[in-house]
Amino acid sequence: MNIEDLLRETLADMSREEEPPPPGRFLPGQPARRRVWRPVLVAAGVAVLIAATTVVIQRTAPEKKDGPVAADTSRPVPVSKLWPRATHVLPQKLPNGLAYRPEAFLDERTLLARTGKGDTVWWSYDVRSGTVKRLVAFVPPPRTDYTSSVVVGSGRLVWYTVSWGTVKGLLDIWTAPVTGGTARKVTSIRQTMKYGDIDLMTVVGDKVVWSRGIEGGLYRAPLSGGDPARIPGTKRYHLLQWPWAGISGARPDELPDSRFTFQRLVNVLTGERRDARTGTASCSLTWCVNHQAQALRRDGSGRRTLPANPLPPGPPALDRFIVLRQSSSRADNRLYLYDLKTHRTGDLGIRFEIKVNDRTASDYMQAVTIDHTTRYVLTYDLGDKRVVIDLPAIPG
Amino acid sequence: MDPDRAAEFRTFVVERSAALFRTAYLLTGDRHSAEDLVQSALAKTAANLARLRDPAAVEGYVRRAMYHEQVSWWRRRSKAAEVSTDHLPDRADDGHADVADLRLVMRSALARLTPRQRAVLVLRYFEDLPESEIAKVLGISVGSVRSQTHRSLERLKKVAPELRTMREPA
Repeated sequence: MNIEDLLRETLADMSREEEPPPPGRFLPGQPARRRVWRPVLVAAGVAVLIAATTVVIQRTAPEKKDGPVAADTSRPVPVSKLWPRATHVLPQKLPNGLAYRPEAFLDERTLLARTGKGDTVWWSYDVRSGTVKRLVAFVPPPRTDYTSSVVVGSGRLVWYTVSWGTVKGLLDIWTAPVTGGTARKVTSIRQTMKYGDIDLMTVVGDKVVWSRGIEGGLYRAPLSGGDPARIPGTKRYHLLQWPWAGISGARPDELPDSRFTFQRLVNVLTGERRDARTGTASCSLTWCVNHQAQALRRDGSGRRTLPANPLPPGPPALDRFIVLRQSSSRADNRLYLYDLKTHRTGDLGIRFEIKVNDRTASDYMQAVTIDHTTRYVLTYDLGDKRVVIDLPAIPG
Repeated sequence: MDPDRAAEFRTFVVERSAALFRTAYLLTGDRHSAEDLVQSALAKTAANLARLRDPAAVEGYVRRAMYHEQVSWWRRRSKAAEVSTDHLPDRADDGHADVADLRLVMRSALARLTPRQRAVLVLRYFEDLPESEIAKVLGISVGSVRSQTHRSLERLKKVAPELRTMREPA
């Protein structure tokens, strides 16, 4: 490694270590903190209050050179009506009284639910009969700071734990049978990231494959246990969906805060390249979404205007889904799940007002933010219910 | 002012403040200063919105304001007020510190750069901007960007000799 790579890694690492304050902290009406620019704020704070602009996400008229752009004007339909088999409205506690987090659907009626902080238990929750069965009880190693969500594949659950704060941070990858049983360690990685230096992990046959979050590079280890090995020729690659990976590197059409956009893709098995011809946009394998609230194919074709603004654009989930925010005024915001494949818009039923000193808006938007790492469920609380949408079960 | 545009600005803040905060944290190295920096840059942007016709320009404007604010604020202060002087971690016994150790060394070394040196490195190695863009953001020439990047890397190696053993960039 050279000093420039180390600098990239260290900066990326540091950028994630402090949780950003809620947006309300920066909205007018907040008490200003100390420091020299207070006089600026006195004048400009008023300006914030009354001034404004259209912004990055504003929908703009398409450029003429793009030719005609289809507009998607289909009316949103409540998700429970649009995708009844995929939408589950559940209690916020398991039948055994425990608070839980939905992880994935194992089949159309069985939710993998997770309970516990620190010591973690995964349950199978039959959402029709309301019965729960303990699958895996996992006691993380001492000094574990974080236990990841699971990925499911080849009949296994796979997840990782991170111990951070010690000089030599450690990341352990674990597996257990999806039918339940004892957790077993697959491999260990030296790293320093608080939430683990893995940006995406997946199961491929009898191996677990992942890419490193900061410097990239695809790695694999046998599920039966063994040392990790970098897949040859994948330096600086970031996994999008196996076997497709994005190539990192400075490029003017990428986003200003180094979010990864998967503009340049390569199939790590065949070497096939698929570079986007879309201008600045976040892409999955087939689709890209840009700042003008447009979706288009990676090759630039099929451009259409979305029915509302995408919530911070990232690579679509499962190469199909994005979340949109419809806002007719500050007081009326609605969130939709949009299917790029079928052009259907599902109304999530979430309504909120953007207000000072109120986290409702950002909490909702955070809860439903999805990207290429979202492979199983979209979940949020509505009233005293928990809505869990089984994304792969949405018919295409 | 048009209330719709006011609402849009608020939306921009709601959606992008987290990303802005992360950059500000890298520039300042501490949470409170980072919050201050974001708020200040947003206030300046709000005051100049009328001139920002291109919606896509807003985020760029906020980011430029952050860099300027950070560099100029420190320039106004006396040099005696250098940032953290945290002790560097001990070197690895065998002289071949592994990556985890090197990152800790790097963090401490970054804290000992001047704000401008730090800004140049954040623009180059976090935001991944080309030299011409960095020059625009900081209002300096491309030649100055190159020389300051070089000097900043040299300074890192000076305050953290462990970094001298690393390979030269390809």
